[in-house]
Amino acid sequence: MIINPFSISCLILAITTLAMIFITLFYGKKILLHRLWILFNASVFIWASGAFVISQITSELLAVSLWKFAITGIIFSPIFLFHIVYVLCELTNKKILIAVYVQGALAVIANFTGLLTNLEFMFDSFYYPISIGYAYPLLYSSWVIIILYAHYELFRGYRKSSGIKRNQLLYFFIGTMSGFTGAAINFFPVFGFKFYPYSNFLPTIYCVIATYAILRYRLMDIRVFVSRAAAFLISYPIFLSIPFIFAYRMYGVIYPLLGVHWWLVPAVLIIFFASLSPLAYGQLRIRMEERLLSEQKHYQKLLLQAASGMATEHNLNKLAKLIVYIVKRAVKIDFAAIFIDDKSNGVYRMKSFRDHQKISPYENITFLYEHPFIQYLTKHTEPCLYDELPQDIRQSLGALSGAAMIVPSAVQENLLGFVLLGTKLNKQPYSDDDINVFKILSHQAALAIENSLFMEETKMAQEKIFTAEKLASIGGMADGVAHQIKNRLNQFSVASGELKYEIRDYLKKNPQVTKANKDLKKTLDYLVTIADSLITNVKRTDGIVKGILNFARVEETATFFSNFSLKESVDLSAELLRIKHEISEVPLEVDLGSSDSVYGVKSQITEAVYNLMDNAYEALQEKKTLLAKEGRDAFKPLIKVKLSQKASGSRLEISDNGIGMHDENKAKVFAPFFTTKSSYKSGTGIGMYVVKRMVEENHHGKVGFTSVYMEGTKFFVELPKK
Amino acid sequence: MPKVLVVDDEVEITVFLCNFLKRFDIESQKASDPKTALAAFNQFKPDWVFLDIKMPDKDGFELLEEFKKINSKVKAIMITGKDDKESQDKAKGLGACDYIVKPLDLEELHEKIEKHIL
Repeated sequence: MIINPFSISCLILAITTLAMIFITLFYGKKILLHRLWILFNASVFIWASGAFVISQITSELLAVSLWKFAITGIIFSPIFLFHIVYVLCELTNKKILIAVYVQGALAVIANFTGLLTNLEFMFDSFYYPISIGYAYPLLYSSWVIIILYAHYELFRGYRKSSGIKRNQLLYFFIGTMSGFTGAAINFFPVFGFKFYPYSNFLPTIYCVIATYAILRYRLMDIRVFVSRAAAFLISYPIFLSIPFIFAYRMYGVIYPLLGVHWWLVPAVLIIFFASLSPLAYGQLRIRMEERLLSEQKHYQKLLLQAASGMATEHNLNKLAKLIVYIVKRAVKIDFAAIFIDDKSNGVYRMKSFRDHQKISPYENITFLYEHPFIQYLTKHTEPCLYDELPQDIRQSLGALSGAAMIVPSAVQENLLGFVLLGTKLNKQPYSDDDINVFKILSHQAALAIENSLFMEETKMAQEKIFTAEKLASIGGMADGVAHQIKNRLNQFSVASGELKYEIRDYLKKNPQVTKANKDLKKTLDYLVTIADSLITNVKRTDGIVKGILNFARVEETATFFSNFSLKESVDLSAELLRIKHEISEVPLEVDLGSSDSVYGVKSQITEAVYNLMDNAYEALQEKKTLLAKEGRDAFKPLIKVKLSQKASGSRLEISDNGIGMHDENKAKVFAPFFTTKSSYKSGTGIGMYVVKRMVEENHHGKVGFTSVYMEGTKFFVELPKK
Repeated sequence: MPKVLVVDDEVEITVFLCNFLKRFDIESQKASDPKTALAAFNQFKPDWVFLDIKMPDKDGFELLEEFKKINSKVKAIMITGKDDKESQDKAKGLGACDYIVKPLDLEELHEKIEKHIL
């Protein structure tokens, strides 16, 4: 093998590009960018491998064909570079891209027809091309233009972007600059400047840096990258060369002392420095980075401390404020906002916002569950940079495009909320380390948010349970209270009756008195009317008490199964509805078929019937109000109760032509504490839950419904036979 | 004329009812606790008793049983707050003639008096 700087640089470049191709194949994704990167490396490989073989041969004939092969690689590398920049910077002018490829095709033709170069044996080492005519300079200048234009776009993209994308473009820019500078110098001899192509080493570095930039989307801070390289250089090569230098310098001293065993000294030294090197590297790296990133490390520490404190905050609003405050203060960014799941409205709502002016330009922003951004976050629950988001999602963010970083908080794939972070005030990009810290922070925040949401839900549920319990205890008391009321009513009733009889008897016994005194007769007759009115009112009051009592008793009466008349349940429910809603008549159509007997616990079925009829009535009222608002009142409300008997059991249907249900509420109908009723009279939210449990758990029956908004709802209850 | 003993733990009710019965020339006595009721029953020897069911100490049913022990021919109209079949059946089982639900409507009682007593 002929060894000279050119052959070595070509060999290294060929091996490196081949390695980069394989690395990209293994670690890359099936995306255009990575495919293009493979193509780019392949074209550089063609150049490098061709040039290496050329450096090894002396046959001019062979060199001619090999140079044609190598130049093909040269032709394609700027083209693929441009295409990569086109993808990276999201350029849109397709015409330029096409022109670049056309230029390439023409160049290939020119190359293979021998229009471009002759060969000359140069530097006493190898055949190198020499430009002939104008074709080669023309081609060369178009490459230069393409490369400069690509770098111009890269630079523009770098200026526009932020965060990691910015870093990526910077790496790529530095890489390509050095790579193509090296490559460009290679052309000097072609134009007659006999300048040895040492610069062929540069593209190697470029390929490595750019591969890193393209594959590792999230890059280290460039300063960190450099400092690590420096730490590595100091601790490994320099430390490890000490034993060799020692052996070289001290050989004359050691050999007389140890004889043939002289090598023991440098060997021990090698072991010593070899074990010291990683330690030194680690220490050096940490020291340097602490210096470099003292600010970053400081806030990262702050964030982590704060994160562990979050779990103690159980008030959701306070927690939201706390998170935003911590993030804004610690990281020193232009703004921070937190969005938290608002289940009852099916949105993510901004709970807290903070920027340097402390006022939010994004008041009351919400994202529907269906929003593409939310859809994206539910699938990607790791912190990510704004620039990393797909383009369509970035566009969908609209007003929030100022965000540089998005930190979702999820527990078991359930997105509880997310924090949006603005750019850092010192304009530094977010680093990989930042993302790791945010990962921990988001995890802690998720737990804290979940905790708070749970606490809030429990609190609400407990309040409702408390209300329900109060109602139940009132139910328990109702019996005693009702007895007392009844006794009082009894007094009224008997007293009024007595009053009436007394007056009547008096009139019977003393007809002459009333004949003589018409006024007295009139007064006494009026007193009788008053007594009658008292008695009627007593009876009505009694009806109300009875209704409440019957309802309260539903839970406590013995849970006995029997065949009973459903008519009684329906009648009682209708009576209760009349009392509850203070109406004279429930618009009811009852069809109980040939037999109204059903098998079950009467009290529970009655309660179920009552609840279903009550909901039906509320649905009618709601539709009525709605239609009245629109000025349409040609609405005939109707509740239908239908019982049919089958071999397996009874099927009860209670339907109404009321408001119906929105699809999003259908799933929640049987959930405890869910209510859409606004009426103060109702809406504990446990009615349908209780119905479902009573029918399905106690009776092994089935409850279900169909509903269409503005058309009505039909509930059915199926009760199996004994 | 038949004699009626009115038993109710509410004194006013017994007063009103006795007064009411007078209108039909029915002789009556009142009692508002079980002890007086038993004493009155023994002394007054009524043909009829109007009995409130729910009373402290002893309920109307128990009292009726005791009255029946003393005079098996005594007839009773039960007055109660409870409007359920269970109580009605129990009253019938103990030999009560009729059953009136509170709040007492005197016109209803009037009908029952005409039907059973007069």
